Amino acid sequence: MNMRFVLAIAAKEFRHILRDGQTLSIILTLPVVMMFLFGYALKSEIDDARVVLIDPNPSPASRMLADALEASQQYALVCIVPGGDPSALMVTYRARAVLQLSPDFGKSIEEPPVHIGAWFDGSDPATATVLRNALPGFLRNYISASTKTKLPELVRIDARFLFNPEQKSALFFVPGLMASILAMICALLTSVTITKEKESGTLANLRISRLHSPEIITGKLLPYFVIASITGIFILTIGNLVFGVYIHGNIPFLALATMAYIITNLGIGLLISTVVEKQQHAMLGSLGLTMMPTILLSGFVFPLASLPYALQVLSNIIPATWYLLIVRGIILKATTPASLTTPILVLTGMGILLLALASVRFAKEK
Amino acid sequence: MMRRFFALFRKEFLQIRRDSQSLKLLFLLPILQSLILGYAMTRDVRNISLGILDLDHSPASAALGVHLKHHERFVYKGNFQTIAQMRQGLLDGSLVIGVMIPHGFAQQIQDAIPDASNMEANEPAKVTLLLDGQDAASAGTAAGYAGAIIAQWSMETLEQELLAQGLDAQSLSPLDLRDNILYNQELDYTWNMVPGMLIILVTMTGALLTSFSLVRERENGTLEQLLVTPVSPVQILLGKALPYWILSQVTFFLAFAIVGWWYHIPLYRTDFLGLSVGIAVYALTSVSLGILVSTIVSSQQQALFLIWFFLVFFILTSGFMLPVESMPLWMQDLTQCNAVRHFLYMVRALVLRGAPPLSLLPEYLKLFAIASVLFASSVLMFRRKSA
Repeated sequence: MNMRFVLAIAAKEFRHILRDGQTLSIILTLPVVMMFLFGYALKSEIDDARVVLIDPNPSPASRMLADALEASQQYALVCIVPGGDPSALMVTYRARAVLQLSPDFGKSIEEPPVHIGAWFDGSDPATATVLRNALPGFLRNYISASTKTKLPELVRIDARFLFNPEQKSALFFVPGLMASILAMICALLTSVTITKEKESGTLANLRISRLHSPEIITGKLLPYFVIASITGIFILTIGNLVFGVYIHGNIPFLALATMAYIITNLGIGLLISTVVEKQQHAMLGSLGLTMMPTILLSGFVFPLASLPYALQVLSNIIPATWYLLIVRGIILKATTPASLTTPILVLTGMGILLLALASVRFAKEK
Repeated sequence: MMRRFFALFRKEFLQIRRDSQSLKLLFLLPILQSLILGYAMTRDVRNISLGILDLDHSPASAALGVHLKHHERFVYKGNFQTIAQMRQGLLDGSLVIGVMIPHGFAQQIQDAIPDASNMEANEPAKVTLLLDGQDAASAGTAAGYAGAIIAQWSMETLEQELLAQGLDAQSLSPLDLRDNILYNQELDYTWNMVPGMLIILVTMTGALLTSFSLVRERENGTLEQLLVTPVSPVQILLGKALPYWILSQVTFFLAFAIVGWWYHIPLYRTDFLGLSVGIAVYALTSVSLGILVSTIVSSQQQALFLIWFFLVFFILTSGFMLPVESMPLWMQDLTQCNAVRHFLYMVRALVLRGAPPLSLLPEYLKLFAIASVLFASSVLMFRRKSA
């Protein structure tokens, strides 16, 4: 392999990238926009859940309960109605929950127990689960306080969240965005750049030149390797400066793992480009193969242990699964490189295998 | 005049049919993925690795341990002897939750049980949960499950003890709460996710294919040729866009039927007329987005990146995975311009809650407004660019 040829191809590719300023600026702004969205706009906690109260017999006591609901941050009382079908009320008022007080609510607060019916909108299971856990506690506390009767408490629970005591969401989305954005950028850009040359016929020109296919491949991949590395550094820097995500562990090891991950995804892109002939197919294929699986099957958004067994097995062939173990381990837990041997070996193995497979196919296409 | 338009319209359909690989990648891949990945889209937390550190070694602490170990949500990973061991388990990822039962647990429980003479309770016993907080949301859910199991155990213990004293614990409880879940009793997450996945599919078809086909004609120079024919620019645009508008609606209903059948989503509640109107308007927004993008980019690659960028933004802020109500107010106002948000709300309401279309009038109007603005500006931009 002649380094001069490799660099010549890389320089040409760089010029292509710089000339297309629009693509480059989208690649660089996407991670920033996503980080700010996750950091400032998107929350998984439930605030201001819309609640409708059915109160057949309004009394000062029921008015106080309504005020308490209104005053809480988690609930927004939409309206108080004298009666009606909970399901119809939920549709009309777009409520997440409907509470029904008994007609003798005012009296029963003097002489407990108080009877309350609660309906939750199951069409959004995440919100329903949260409300179903939180609303009974809220009501129980309110009723206990106003009736001054309380069941004795035998056990008090003290939950401590290790590695993330303040439960900062940035510690969750920064590693996840690293994994998913790098995967998409690498596979997409590589597969497109090679098919574009195929479409315009310039790949044939390259092939009849004195260049060997390893030189062509390395030269074409090098610029994207650099761009992906810059993106990775970019994400970690913003995570650190803006969202306070500190890397507690071994930074050189993180860098090494990130390189292995980038190479693996470049391999996927290269492989796609050897299978398809058109840019459009390359784009659709690489987006389809990387976007959904890296977000859904890597443990980024949905915990792997909760998945059905077959999908857990499937998640093992997704590079992001292994990379996420490393990133989360290093950033959050300061895990030692020694205990991350398996993930790094698997990742490197995948990278070598994919790249080798793609190179062989690429060379055969001659 | 209509003849010219129909000629273009037919040409576009022929072109779509000829490119079978694109169709496969656009329909088969996403539909197949939805059939598999729908199972992955659950925020439900299961198979939580649990470890116990019992410092009390009493019958009471052992009984609590048994309750936790055998619960369906947890996978029991063994008893630990020291806190250091348990922390190591959390560090290397073999544990997600560690339950620490302190010295004197049984005694504290005994002290906390009131007797008939004194209903004022003593300080309760304290159980500490150590959680792996790297995924804060799942850890919170896991803590919730452990808390509920412990609370239930302590309630049962209390009832037994009070019964021994001749008291009925039920009568002491100030609140009797009955809770019910509507529309989706099993709280199946896929039901809620499927509409979102279908919307991604439709947007991809409408916006991507439309802009690809326009950019490709521009790249090849064939758009210039069309423009010098007697056909007017608006006719060209409609002839090119209409097939994709129809195609994305067909895709929606097809995918909807396949995926709905696969995940056993009850579709009988749906008002199909309401849904058809909704998808017709929504498909117009996505096709208009495709036309708009095609007028500002110079290559198919740029078109893809731009649409992908918009789509990620629209999907994330639509309430697909995270609720709109939890966003800050400025963001909620901003998402009023997001067609995906209104359409997603509409589909979920119509399909899952069986809502009558009239109750969704605000959504229809907003969606229609967005579609009109987008379509009008896309036609204007196209005419300006073709002039």
